[in-house]
Amino acid sequence: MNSPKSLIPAWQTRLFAVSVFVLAISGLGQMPLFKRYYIADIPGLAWTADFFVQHVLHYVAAAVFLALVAYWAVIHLRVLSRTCRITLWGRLRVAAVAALIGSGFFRVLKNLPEWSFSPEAVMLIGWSHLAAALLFGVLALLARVSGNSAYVTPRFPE
Amino acid sequence: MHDVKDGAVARPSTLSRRTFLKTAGVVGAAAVLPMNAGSVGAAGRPEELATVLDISQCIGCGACVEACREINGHKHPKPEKPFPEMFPKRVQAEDWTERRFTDDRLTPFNWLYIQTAAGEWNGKPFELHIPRRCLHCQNPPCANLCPWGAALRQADGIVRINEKICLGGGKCRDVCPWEIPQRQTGVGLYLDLMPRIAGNGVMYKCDRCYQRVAQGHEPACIEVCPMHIQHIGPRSEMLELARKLAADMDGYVYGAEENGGANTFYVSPVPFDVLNATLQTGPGRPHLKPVQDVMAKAENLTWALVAAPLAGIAAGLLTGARAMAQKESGHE
Ligand code: SF4
Ligand code: SF4
Ligand code: SF4
Repeated sequence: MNSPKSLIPAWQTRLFAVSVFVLAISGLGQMPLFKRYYIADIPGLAWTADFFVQHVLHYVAAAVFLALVAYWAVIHLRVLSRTCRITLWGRLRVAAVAALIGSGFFRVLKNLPEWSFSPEAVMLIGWSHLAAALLFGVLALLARVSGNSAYVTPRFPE
Repeated sequence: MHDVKDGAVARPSTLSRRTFLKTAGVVGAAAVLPMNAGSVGAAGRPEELATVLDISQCIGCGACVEACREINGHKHPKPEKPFPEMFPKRVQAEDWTERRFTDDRLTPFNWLYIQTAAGEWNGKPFELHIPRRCLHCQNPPCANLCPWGAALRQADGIVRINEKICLGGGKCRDVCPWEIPQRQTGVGLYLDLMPRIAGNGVMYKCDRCYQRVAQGHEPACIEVCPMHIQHIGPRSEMLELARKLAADMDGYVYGAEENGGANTFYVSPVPFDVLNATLQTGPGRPHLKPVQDVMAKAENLTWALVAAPLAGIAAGLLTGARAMAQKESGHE
């Protein structure tokens, strides 16, 4: 049978976790906090206050994150959805990820010299990306502590 | 990319004011409408506005500095005192209210100042005055990297900071190659959020008189200058003018390539590295050094953000097809 396990190997989930971790750190690092709160003073962590390093990290981690999400979405639609369904906690987190990707898309667009948005739109893009990240973080935490971290569950339990 | 060949270009007569008004009017009315062919950029949208400053003509009278303060005074900070205490202790308040009349550097109350370069070049003494303010970069790190959506670049190329939501973290100043934006503590949205632990006021800089420009007027500093050293208009025309002025005086242009291209071109009869060596630089007093495009790396990575999900989809389709085939042919 095509189980989630056989189609989504452990290295992928581990890579996903790493990309989320790097996205969270480099996302926080976009804000001028690591210097204010002495993190950048810790030997070896001076880079956390380098906004250009953080920006490049965020883009690289986002590329990994997007590749995995796209891969899993296709696998789910084409194969897994026949035998598995997405759990409630899965649905919530998928919605948060969709909001993150959507707002992130516009943020990347805004950073290209060819695109300009109104002040209100720029604010909306920035704030919704932050809100989506916060939402995903809270949901991921709640899912884990409540023991509901699985995204999918078999439709026909054996 | 922004390279334009120097050479014999006919000097556009009185172009700046006329085309500027045309550009400004349309950009102001509808930021996305295409305009007359001459000022529509390659992407089919109105071209950004740029300024040319012929510093060989500046007499350092300071009329532009005065005009900037007067016209934009209503946008200057009105901080509330006492300032909330900030945590941790290392976070210092930046207060300019006692020094609001300082005019020999950039401050939240002074978005333009006159820098003077004096020395000797080619065996001849020179003294040149350089009006300094934000250069309005084409790919501005201050706006791209603002995490809060407060700094932005308009379709007409004006880069400004939305003072209603700026938290004064000062990242825009840290990432600006010239450290242009200036902070005033005790004002802005951070006071309504968590003033002790995040934010520190509002960042201020030249906003190219965006309200005046939207109404088809010139920025105050340009209009008031008795020597007419500044011109404003579509970028390509301004660049052409800058190159022409430079060629006429056997001089140099600063801003065309700096930071990947700015929308401010200084024209000088003396090389900019020579000027820079004589300048007094430091906080609020920007340099005139060559500047690499600081956004280039991240911009080049944009392709990865497009390619990655496509690769994911392709891999998913392949694996999916293989899984289906395996299932149909009966083996696990
Ligand atoms: S008003 Fe004109 S001449 Fe006077 S300082 Fe300003 S740019 Fe120079
Ligand atoms: S000069 Fe500095 S403040 Fe002005 S647009 Fe460029 S990066 Fe931003
Ligand atoms: S363009 Fe306007 S805001 Fe900028 S320096 Fe000139 S007068 Fe001041």
